[in-house]
Amino acid sequence: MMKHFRNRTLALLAGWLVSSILIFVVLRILPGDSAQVIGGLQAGEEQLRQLREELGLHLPLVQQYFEWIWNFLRGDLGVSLFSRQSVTQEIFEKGQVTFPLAFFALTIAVSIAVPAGVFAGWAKRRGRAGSRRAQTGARTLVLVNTLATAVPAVWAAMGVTLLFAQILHLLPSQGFTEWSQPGKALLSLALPALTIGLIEGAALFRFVRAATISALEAPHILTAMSFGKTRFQALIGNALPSVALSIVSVLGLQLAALLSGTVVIEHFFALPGIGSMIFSAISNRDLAQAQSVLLFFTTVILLFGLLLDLVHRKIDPRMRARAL
Amino acid sequence: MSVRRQERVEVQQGVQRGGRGRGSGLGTDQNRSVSAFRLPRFSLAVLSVLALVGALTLLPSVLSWLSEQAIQTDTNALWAPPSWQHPLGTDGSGRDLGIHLLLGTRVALIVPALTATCTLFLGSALAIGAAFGPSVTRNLCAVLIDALLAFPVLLIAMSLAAALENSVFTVVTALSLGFSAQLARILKTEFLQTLQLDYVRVARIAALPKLRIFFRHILPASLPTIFAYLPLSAGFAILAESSLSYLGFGVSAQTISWGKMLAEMQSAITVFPLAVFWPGCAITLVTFALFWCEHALVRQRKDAKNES
Repeated sequence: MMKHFRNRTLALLAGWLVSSILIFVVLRILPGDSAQVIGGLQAGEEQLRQLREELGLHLPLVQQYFEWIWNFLRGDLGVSLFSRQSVTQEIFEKGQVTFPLAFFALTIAVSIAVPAGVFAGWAKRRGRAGSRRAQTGARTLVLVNTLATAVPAVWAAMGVTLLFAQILHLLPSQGFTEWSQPGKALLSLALPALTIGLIEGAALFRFVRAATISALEAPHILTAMSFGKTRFQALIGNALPSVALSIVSVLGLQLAALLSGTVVIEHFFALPGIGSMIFSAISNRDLAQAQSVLLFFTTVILLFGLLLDLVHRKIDPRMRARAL
Repeated sequence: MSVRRQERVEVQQGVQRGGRGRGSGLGTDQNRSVSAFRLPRFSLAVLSVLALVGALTLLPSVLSWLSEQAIQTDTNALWAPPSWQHPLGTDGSGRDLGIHLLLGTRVALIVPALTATCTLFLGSALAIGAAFGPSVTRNLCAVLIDALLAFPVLLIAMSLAAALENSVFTVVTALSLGFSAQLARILKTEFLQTLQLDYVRVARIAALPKLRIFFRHILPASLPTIFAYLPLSAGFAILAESSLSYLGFGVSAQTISWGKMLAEMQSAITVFPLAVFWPGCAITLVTFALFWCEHALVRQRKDAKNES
């Protein structure tokens, strides 16, 4: 366990360093000078030089990189060029929109995808007579799900808005109300969370269905059934635990998709979250903010992956058996 | 991100499946599933129409005629519903939506095709490096895959588009970088699994040349996985292009794409939902056709495995 933990942490650190270098390099080849962006077109040569020195842009690139990484590790993510606000502070504020949004979206996704996926996997190959209806149901689910994965995020957002905000007038279509009014804040997160939840749910369904099918093929299911359990009892008692484990191991990969989904959806619904912060930072060529927020996202994704891996190891007896 | 964990899980599943005679005659079995795969008729129909129309719009004469038509405005028909003159209706300044949709097929053909091809080569290269290279290459490739997986594809594309310029090339580069990491993750575990199979061990003991072992014994076993990933990455490329175009990081400003039509017509959604209905429908239809192909390929491979 300790050895595994050490290896995983080393791999995580290496991955983190490589992604930080990638982010740094990609953003440094951005055209346009941050000093020029702040100073405006009228800024004189002398003023620009001063600004560059203030921002540390006159230093060699390697030194800039290490200073950035060092500050990042100490929790200082720099200062936004436009709002002049500390990026750490800003992430903290905007995280209050994005993290609840991601949580609700994940909840919606899991609560749709898990029952549907388990059913579709369970009903898939029941060769007996009388199960035709279940088989047809499963096939329809797969068809509908494939169709749902093919819907572009923006279109889904438009459809949801049209239905719930324009026609039914149930929910607000755009914007965010502060958490000081919890009810209204939740309502304003409803449509974005529903959109992301549907998209992610469609992706999750495939995993759950595949995991259920392969769990039901395992030899111990046959054993359980030969001891007199029905196939349904075997599913609930003997197959679902391993399905749950595969879901845990796949959620880490889903988080990356979920967080990038927030960029589009937050932009669409005009939510002041981390996603829109990334969008405006990149489009404004706000280097300091963009690189720190991107690295923050990457760090969250990597740490979440590590956490899930450890949880997976802790609760999966097969993993422990192999480690011995 | 967690290549090693995934690997263990998948290896273990492979062992479970091994009971169904995977070791015996795997080569022939896999070859059969490659040579005899059938694509669903619906997907073939949609994709051939796309390919045909897309190829037509690549012809310079057709393109210039269409582009001319696209900027012509019919002031008598603003937000017009479908009619004989404008089969799909018009937008707010009287431009024909059908013509725009036709022009969009170019990007809808080029971006997925190029992305899938680049993903195929880049992903395979990464996976080969991570599975068979000398230890330095192996670790380097593994770390690179991890890092790219932790970096959402859309964000790679946004940063690159901001750094370089909005063009088909930028979009394709960014998307294939992201997708190839995902393909490489899957392929690497497959390669390592195949390496443990009896016939590969025999070939290694017989001291066959390494390249020959790879091309004759290891690669053919993974071809179904690679082929199934092609339509998947092409479909995701179309979806990602629409999201990127919506955010303004897509193809260049002059090029018309379905994703960009969606973005431009967003404000019209309450006035004239049909304007966003068509491009969205087109994207969904093509992507669905691609995903349905992937579904069929995966199912056929599983059936072939179970038969043997």
